[in-house]
Amino acid sequence: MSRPVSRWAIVRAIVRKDLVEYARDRLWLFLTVLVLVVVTVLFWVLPDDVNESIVLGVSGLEDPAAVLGGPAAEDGLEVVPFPSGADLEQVVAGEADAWQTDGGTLVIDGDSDQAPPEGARRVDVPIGIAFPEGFPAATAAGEETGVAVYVDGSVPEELRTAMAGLVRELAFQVAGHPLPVEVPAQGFVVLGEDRVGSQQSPREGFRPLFVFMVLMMELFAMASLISKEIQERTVTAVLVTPAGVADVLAAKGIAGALSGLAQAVVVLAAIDSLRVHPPLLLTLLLLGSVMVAGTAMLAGSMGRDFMSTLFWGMAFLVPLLVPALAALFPGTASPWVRALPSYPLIRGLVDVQSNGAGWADTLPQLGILAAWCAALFTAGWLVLRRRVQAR
Amino acid sequence: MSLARVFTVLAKDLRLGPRSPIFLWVLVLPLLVTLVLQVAFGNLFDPSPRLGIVDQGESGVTAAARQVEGIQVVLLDGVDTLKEQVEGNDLDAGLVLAEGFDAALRAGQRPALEFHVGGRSLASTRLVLAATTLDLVRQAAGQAPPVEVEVVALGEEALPMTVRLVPLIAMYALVVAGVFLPAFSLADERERRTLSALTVSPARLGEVVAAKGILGFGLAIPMAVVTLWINRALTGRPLALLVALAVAGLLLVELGLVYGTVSRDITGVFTLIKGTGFLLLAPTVFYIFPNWPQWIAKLFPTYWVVNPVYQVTINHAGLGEVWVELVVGLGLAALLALAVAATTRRLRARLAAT
Repeated sequence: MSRPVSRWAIVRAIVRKDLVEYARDRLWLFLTVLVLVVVTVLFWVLPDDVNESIVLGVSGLEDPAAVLGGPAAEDGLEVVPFPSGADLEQVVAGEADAWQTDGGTLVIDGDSDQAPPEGARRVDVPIGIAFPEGFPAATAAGEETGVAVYVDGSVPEELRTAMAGLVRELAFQVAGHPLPVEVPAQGFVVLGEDRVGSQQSPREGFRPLFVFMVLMMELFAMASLISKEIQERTVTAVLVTPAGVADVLAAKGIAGALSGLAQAVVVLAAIDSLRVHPPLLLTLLLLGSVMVAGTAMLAGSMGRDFMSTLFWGMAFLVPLLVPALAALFPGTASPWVRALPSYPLIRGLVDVQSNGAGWADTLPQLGILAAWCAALFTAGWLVLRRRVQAR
Repeated sequence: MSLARVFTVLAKDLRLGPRSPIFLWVLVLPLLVTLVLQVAFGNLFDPSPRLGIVDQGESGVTAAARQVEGIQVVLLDGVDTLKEQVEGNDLDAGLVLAEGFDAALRAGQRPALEFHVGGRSLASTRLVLAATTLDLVRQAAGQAPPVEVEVVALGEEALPMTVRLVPLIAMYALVVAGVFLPAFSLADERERRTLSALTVSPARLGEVVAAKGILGFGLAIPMAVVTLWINRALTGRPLALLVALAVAGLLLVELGLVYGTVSRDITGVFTLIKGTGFLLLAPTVFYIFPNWPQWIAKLFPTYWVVNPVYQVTINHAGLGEVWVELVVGLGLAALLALAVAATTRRLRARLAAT
């Protein structure tokens, strides 16, 4: 006596049931909220600028910025003049503080109660070069002088070597020994877009990773719910209703993808990432969510209980996470990293969010990602169908 | 409490335990964390300047560049590959040394210096690589510098990031085996109702709990040692290290037993660990960031067990230097032992009521 029910209505009903069940699972709800909050807080805590300069204290030169700030130094060196070598040594050793004022650098002993002048800026000086009095004249006259380079314990070895080299080169120049090589007048050749002054900040670098992490969290939640349904036989119960196996599987996929997409959109909004190409980002995330839903079906079907589902989830998560970690590093990803399913998603997110890529630039990534989604979703579907039918 | 029954339960856990994924977690996770933190994040926080060299004539500059500490030198075959890698940010800069470069230098012919800089390399990195390269070129030209440079290091030498990550990794190994294993094992038995079955046997609940603790402790110490060994942090003072690890293992195992006895199921343990895990690992973050106020770390109970491990492994301290922390750690362990006894009693009452 009942009305025929459309497939879509059945799928919709199961999706609604799954989402309600998800919302009632206190563990996953707690973890979902926790991850969203942690990711958002971490993002805003990360530095949003890059300090490209080496702060170098210099004593014994009349105009050190002019002498040391040649073309080779450009933006890489921030020269802080010091009244004496002793002051410089104290500051680098951390026994005194250096304050920059309009009138020069003021050094205040660490034990002193003296307040810094109004408007003064405290500078952290990890490296200092103490030139002897009359260094230019003596060197030009051919006398060998001694220069001390003071370094704090945290200064890396390569920087110590470079600073010593810089002093030697300066002495060569002052003594009238030009470079023994021809260097282009306009300086060294820069390959690619010169990003000095506009380098990618850690916050920008981590942006795609955070969005990806939220999607991955969904993998665990979805896998756990699927596994629970199989173990508790609620899937079997649903199958005695007019719903077929295909309806259940379609509903699982849709619920997983929707849930993942919703969380990713929340994070995107919270980290202010929806301003650049929002439709393209949402397309990438939708495909990512489908990939995660397919993977969750696989992990959920393989898990026999909570721990083994978690284990399988982790087993799938680790390789998927590799491209996200690789994206944090400079340079091109290795071929094996590029072969992983999550690579096109990460590449796409990085290209859109960090490099401002549009639809045309991202099309290859979208194509590969769609292919991976189809493959993983089909695999998840087949494995889950087998488990459901076996029950 | 019968030791014989404790060891019977322990033998059962050792026999059946490896079937559980948690055992695999105990063995694999510390290695995975080492890999991720040391290989990935160690380099991320402490990046070295990367210089590519195409040497077409066995130049002395190449040999000298490879000796410079802190600079990664990569030798390449072709100029095109070099330019591609510099442009792709696989290298910070690239140097091409043509055939006869050194001879031309020494003859005063001023050969052209082909030095390419990557657009995405930092200005400071460019400065380091350019200054170092010019210094090496001067040396290859046989020019004696008209100045004597003395580098004076002031203050304590900072530890490299790979070393500062060791406490976190060691602590993780201890937590996974010491906290996760007993907690999940107890909760699993409770969820499957095998705990109730065990307690109708001659074994008492306290003996089952003790067996789980011994299992966690027995795996935590070797896993921590293996993890330290992989991270090249095994000290020359084995007794001090074993004592420090034993105190840390004891405290964490007791915590795992509290988690396992208060949780109704595995999901409960998982929630507890997720909710409190950061508190356990928090002190280790202060080693990574030595500029943070270090006194804050002392507010976390696990500081008192992780600091002796850090001091013994990284600073080669002996028992005489870490005994205060160890005593505090043992005091905390004594308090937790009381908590374990209380939660075990409560669990016994609950099992009896069901």
